[in-house]
Amino acid sequence: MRSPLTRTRGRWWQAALAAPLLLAACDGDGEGSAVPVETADSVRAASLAVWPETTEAEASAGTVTLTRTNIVAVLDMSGSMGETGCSGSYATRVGAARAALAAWLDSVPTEANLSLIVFENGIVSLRVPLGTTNRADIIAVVDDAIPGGMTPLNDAVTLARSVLEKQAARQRGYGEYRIVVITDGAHSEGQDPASVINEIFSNHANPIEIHTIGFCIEGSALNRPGVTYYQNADNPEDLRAGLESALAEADAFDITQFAEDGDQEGQ
Amino acid sequence: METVINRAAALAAILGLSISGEASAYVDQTPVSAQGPFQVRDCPSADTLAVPVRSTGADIVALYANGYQMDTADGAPFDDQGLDVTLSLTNDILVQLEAYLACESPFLRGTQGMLNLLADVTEADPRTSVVAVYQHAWSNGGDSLVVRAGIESPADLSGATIVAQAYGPHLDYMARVLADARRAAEEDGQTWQPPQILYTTELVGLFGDTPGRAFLDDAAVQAAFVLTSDAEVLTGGGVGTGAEGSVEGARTLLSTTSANRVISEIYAVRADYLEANRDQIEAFVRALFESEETVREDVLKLIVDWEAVGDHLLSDPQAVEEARRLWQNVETTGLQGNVDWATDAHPRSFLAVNNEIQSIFVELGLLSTAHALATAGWDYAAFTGGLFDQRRTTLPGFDDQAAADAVDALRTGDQIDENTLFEFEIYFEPNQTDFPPADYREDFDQAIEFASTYGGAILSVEGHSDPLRYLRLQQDEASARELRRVRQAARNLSLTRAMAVRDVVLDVATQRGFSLDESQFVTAGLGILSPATGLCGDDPCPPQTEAEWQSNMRVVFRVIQLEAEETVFTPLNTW
Repeated sequence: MRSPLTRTRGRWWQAALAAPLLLAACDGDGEGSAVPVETADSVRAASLAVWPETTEAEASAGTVTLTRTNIVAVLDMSGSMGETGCSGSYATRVGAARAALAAWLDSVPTEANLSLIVFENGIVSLRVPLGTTNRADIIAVVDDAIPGGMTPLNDAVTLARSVLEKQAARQRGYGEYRIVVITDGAHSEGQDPASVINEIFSNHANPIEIHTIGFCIEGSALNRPGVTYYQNADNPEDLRAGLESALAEADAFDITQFAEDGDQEGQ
Repeated sequence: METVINRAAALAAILGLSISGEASAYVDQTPVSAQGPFQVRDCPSADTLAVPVRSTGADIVALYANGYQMDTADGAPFDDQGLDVTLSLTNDILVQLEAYLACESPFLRGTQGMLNLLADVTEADPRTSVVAVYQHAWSNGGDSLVVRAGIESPADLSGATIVAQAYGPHLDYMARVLADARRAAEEDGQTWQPPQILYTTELVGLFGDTPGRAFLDDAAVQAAFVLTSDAEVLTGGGVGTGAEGSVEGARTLLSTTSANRVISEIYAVRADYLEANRDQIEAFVRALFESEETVREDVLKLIVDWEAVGDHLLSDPQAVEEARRLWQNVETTGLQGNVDWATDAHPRSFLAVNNEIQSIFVELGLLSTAHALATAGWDYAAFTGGLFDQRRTTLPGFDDQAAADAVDALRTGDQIDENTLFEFEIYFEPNQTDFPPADYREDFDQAIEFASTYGGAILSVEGHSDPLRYLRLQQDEASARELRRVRQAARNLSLTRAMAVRDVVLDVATQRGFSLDESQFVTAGLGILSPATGLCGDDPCPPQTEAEWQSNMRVVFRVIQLEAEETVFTPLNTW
C-alpha cells in the first residue's frame, strides 16, 4: 500500500520564476557544452530553466498564433551528398534527400511555420524564412541546389536554433519548435554539431526537437537515441510519424501505481 | 515626508478644516433625514445659474467652462451656450443640501454615494426629487483604503474596525469594498462579521477629525478610507515603518487605481427646475461635454491655468502641484462614459451603482428605504452629434508586458490569493480546449461586472493541464526527449484553454452591449507546473481519483488588484 503523498501548491515552481538570475550566476565560464545531456527530466528542472531568454509583450504578439508549430529544415548540400551509398534506389544521396523532403513537405500542416537553411559550397544561408505560404519556394530551392563543398553542420544547426529562438520570443515560448536535418552526417573539421545539440538539450525548458533524416549515420550527435529523432532517408513515413504533435494529457483515468520517490515535499 | 504632512495640513487649512492637531473624535452618522426639519422652497426665476463645485479634478471641467473664473467670463463655454453661471466651492454635501432645498442652487454636486445619502430628504418632495444629468468622472487613484498589519485581503475586514468621513465621498467606496469582502469571506467558508464603522467629521489631512488622524492615533482602528495623498504618508509609500508619519505595518489594501469604477462624481438637478428650464440645463451639460474634451487636450498641451484651479478649487493659487494631482486622480467620463452611465443594462450605470450603494446604506441605517433616483433620460450622443470622444473606447489602458510581469511577481511571492478580488474555475475534458459557456454564464456575468468595476485590476486567465500522461511516461522510463515534448504540449494546451476562456468572456461582454479593454487580460499557460492536485517532490502529484484528474484540467480566472504597480495601468485621461 503506498503511503499518501504529501502535496503542496506552489513552492519551488514559484521560485523558478526568478530563475534567470540564478542561471546567470551559475553560467560564469560561458562554455556549457560539457553539461551532460542524459539527465532525467522533471517538471522542477524545467521550471528552473529559462527559454527563450526574452519574450515580446503580449500586445506585439497579438497577431502571432502563440502555439504555432515552427520547423526549420536544414539541407546538407555538401560534396559528399553527391555520392552514392545509403541512397536506396536513388543514384545519389541528394536525389534521395530531395525525394524524402518532398514527401515530407506534403505532410507538414499548412498552418505550421516552415523555413529552409541550406549549406552549399561550404556556405550556410537562410534560404527561405519562416512562413506558412512558402512551400513552393522551398521546393524550388531544394531542386536548384547542387552538392559541393564542406559540411558546416554546427553552423547550420546553430543558425536554425537562432531562427527558432527569435520566433519563440514572439510566441512567448509557447508552440512547437523543430529542426529537421537532412544529412549524411560527415561534418567538416570543427563543425561537429554535438556542442549546440548539448546546449539545446541541457536546458530543460528548451523544447526544440532535433530530427535527422540521415544516410547511414552512426556515431554522430545527430543520431543520438533519447536526444534526437533519427530516420533513414529512404523511409520518409517514419519521419512523418516522428513529427506528429504529442498528446498532452491521458485520454482516460485509471488507477496507476506510481513508484514511491521518497522525495516528497513537506508542507 | 514632513513636507507632505505640511502640505496636507495646508490643504486642510485651505479647505477650512480643523488643523488643531488634536486626535480625532468620532461622531455618529445619523441618517440625513434625522437632521431636519428641512425647508423646501420653490425655485425663483433667476438670470444667474448658481452651481456648486467641489475640490476634485472633475470640477476643473466646470471651472474651465466658466473661463477659469467663478463668474462666467466672456467667451467661456458657458457663455457660448448663453449661460450666466456663478460657481461656489462647497465640499460639504449637507451645506449643498440646504441650498438645494431652498433652491439657492438647483444643483447637487457630489459622488453618487453622497447624493444617495440625501435621498430620504430629496425624494420626500417631488419638487426636489433628484434628476441626475451628468457624470463628471470616476475617481481613479485619488482614494485609498489603508490597513494595519494583519489585514491581508478584503475578506479580513470581517469584524474589523474601520473609519471613514461621515457624509463623505468614501461611503459608496466603502459600501462596494465591504460587499465584495463579505462575498470573498463567505466563499472562503468564513462567517462574515459586520465591521464596526467609526466616522469623523472631516476628510483631508492627518490633523483634526479625519480618518487619517484616527488611523494614526487609535490602534483599534484597523482600516481607514482616506485620500491617496494621506495614504502615502500613512504607509510611507509602501509599507509603513512607523517613521516620518507612517504607521508601522500599514499599507494600501485597495485604492481607486484598481477600483476605478466605484466612486462616481456627478451633477444632479431638482426635478421642478429641470422641468421648467430644460433647455438651460441641456445647454449646461453641452458646455460640460465640450469643456471636458478641451481640458483633456489642454492638459497635454500644458496650457491649463493651474493657478486658477488652485485658487478656485483649493483656495490657494500657489497650490499648483495639488491642482495637477486633482486632475491625475480622476478619469473624466466624457460623452461615451455618459452614454454608458445612462444605460441601465451597463454594469456601472447610474442605476447599477445606486442599487449597490442603497442596499448597503439601508443595511447600515443611513437610508430608511431604497429610492429610485432618476436620470434625465437624454440621448447624450445627440448632444454633440456623436463626433468626438470615440477614441476613448479603443485605447488600451494596460502595458501588457508590465501587467504580465506583475502577475508573475505575485505568483513568485505567493501573493496571488491575497490580491485576488474574484476567482472562478472552468473545467475541460482531456486534450480539449472547448467548454460549454452556458454552464458558466453566472461566473462570466460576475467576471464582467468585476472587470467593469475594477477597471484598473488585471484579469488573469491561467490555463492548466493534467500531468498524468507525463507521470506515466516518466514511470515507464520514457526518454527525456519524450518527456519534455509532453511537457511542452501540456503548456500549449493550457494556453489554448486560457485563450478560449478569455475569448468567451470578451464575447459575452460584447453580447451584453459593451466592450472590455483587451489589454486588461493577462493570459498564461502553466502546463503541468501547478496542478490542482499539488506537487510531490520534483514533479506533480499523480491524481488519485478521477475527480482529482479532472480537477487539473482547468482554467483559473482571477480579477487581481495591483496597488503598487503604477506603471502597469495608464488612466485614460493621459491620452
